[in-house]
Amino acid sequence: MAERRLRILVIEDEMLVAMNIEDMLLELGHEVAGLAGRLEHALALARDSAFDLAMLDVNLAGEPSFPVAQVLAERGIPFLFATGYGTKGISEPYRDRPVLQKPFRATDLSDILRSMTV
Amino acid sequence: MASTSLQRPHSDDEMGMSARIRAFDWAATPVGPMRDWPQSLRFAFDLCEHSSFPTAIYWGPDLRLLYNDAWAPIPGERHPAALGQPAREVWADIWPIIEPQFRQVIESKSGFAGYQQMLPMVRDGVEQETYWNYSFTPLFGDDGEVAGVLNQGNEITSTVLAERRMAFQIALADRLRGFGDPESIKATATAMLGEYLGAARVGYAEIDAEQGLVSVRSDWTRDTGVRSLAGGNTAIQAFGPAASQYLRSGETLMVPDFRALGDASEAADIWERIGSRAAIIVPLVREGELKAVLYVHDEQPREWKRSDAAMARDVAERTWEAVERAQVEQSLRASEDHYRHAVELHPQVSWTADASGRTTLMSWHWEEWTGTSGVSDDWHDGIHPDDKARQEEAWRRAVETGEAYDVEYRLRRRDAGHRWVRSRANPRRDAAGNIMLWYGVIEDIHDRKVAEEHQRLLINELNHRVKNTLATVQAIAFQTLRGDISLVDARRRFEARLMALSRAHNLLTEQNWEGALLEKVVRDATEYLAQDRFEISGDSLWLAPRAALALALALHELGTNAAKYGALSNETGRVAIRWTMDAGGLRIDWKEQGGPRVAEPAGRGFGSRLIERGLAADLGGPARLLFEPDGLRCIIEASLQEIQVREDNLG
Repeated sequence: MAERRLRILVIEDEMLVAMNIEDMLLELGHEVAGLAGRLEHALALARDSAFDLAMLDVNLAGEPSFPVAQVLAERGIPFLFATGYGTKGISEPYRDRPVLQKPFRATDLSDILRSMTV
Repeated sequence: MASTSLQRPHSDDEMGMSARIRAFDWAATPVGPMRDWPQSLRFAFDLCEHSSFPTAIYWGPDLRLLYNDAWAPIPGERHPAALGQPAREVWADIWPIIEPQFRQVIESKSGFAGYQQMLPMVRDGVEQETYWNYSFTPLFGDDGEVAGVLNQGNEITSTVLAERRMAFQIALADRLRGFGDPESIKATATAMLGEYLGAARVGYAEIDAEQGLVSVRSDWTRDTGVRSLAGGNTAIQAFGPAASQYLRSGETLMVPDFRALGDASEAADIWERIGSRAAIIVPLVREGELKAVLYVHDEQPREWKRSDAAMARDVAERTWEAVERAQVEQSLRASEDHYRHAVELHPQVSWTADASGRTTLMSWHWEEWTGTSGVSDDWHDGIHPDDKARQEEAWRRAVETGEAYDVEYRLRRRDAGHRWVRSRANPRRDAAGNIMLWYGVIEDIHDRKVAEEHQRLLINELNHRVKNTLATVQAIAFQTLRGDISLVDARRRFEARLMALSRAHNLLTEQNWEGALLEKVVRDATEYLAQDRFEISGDSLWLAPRAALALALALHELGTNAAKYGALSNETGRVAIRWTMDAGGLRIDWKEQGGPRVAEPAGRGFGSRLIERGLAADLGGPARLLFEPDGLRCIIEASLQEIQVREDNLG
């Protein structure tokens, strides 16, 4: 892959989907910097770990992931949402962030990552 | 009536009183011949003869009468025979009253004056109340004793009766003003008229023109001896064609004596049956239609006076008007009452506003809801701050354009909560098209709004779940198709995994997606395998949907692996699935025994990854695969906080 190798934090509460994303990212030549399916764990990783970009599921076992988005925004780390809700499920002030509607193809993920790191 | 008598022209054959007096044979009476009359009598006669005021002289021991032309009508049909007759004989009817007055004048030798004196005179064979102002003046004989009495006076009956009528009418008007219902008005008017006329029975009958019926709701009777006609319905025809024809003319009918009518028709029987000999009947005709009849009955023959008929007519008209007014008021009240109930009993706020947009009326619900009056500028205070601008703009536009107003907003309740309402209004215009008033209604649509919102959330949630499920299916497909695998194998595995997911969905749907029993999840996931080779035990625990799904997929992978390579791949192997709980966690122990010897595989397949990586995320604890030589062991640990659904939360 010609693309830059990214360290990506994956916040996703569905284990199968998380695994799938993980596989997709690996195939695209990126690295999974961390994986969390619960808000608390996600917040800890968002605050303290080192990574270039984050993928956020909106609903984490019934809790919205926006506090994670806030941490990422504060740290200035780019992130995207991957959600079954689509763009309508994103609340202010994150409406202008990139959104991947589940389910998505590997190429969709690749495109959006490229657009975010150009 | 003295005044009219004066104006009445004498007929040619009528002899003047002067001539009659001169022609009278006074010598045959105690008065004596005219030439012998004493000075005082001559003087009095002179005065009497030339006065144009009613004047009479009573002279001598038995008070013989002589009188002038003006006085002549006073004794009625007794004139001219009364001339020269003794007072006692002429005035037999009123003698008990005037005799003491004569005696007083003679004995005291001084004059007497009576004002508004009632004298019950017999006129036309009927005793009538008459009223008089008159004087008795003593006339002295030569011996200085009272020898005669000069009488001057005039009748004031019509004045007295007119005053009485007026007093009656004022009293009637006063009484009727106080009543609001038609029946009280009729009862009062008929009773007052009955007492005034001294009648036996007075009633107010209503006519149903369509049915041709006369009906009496209630009537007045003088005493219990007189039969009431109340509650009766009589066909108009029963009174005979002449009577109904007459009633329709609208003219007042006076009957002094029904028997004297000589009416042989069956109509005459009616009057006999109800005990009426005399009657005044006042038909009330409105717009050409006979509406009501006021009747005055007497059980004796009676010479009604025109004034009686006029009074009856007057009472009938006033009663009609009062009854009409009362009926209109009653129906207005009923209509207002109806409106008030319609408005007040509905769980809606009705309101009105003037053409400038200011509210003029607001039903009490508004204040009940918001704690403000809602009238004028107060209105906007009851509206949620976020909706105020939108509502004000909608109202401003409606008032400007005259188009219907229809807006939804949240109403601020006095208990600090909010409720969604829909407010609508339409203008009422005058003939020129100008808006007179806006009529509005505010309706509580909170439950609908909440339901709509709930539905929206449900659809969003459903969409989310479907998308997530598709993502899961995508992941299963992706993972199944990885690596070196034949298409046949891939299809079989994919289908088996989809079915495992589907079964877990079924389990959750049974419980409305609130949770599933761990034991059921375990049995369900192993059901398609040899059940008799499983040993399943553990305490009852409700799993949250996510945990149930994850565990079902993991157990499916373990089962498939056991059937293919492990304890279930031969005829003797067994699988024990046991779980225990302690304060913080659940521990599930999958242990295979009796199968082929186990060695750790070189790589990890989908199942292994699912269990070791995925379960940890979904169950909040580590899951380990132990390749023990006597059989595979899988220890799944989970945080109860993550996976448990408390039983009292289940629907």
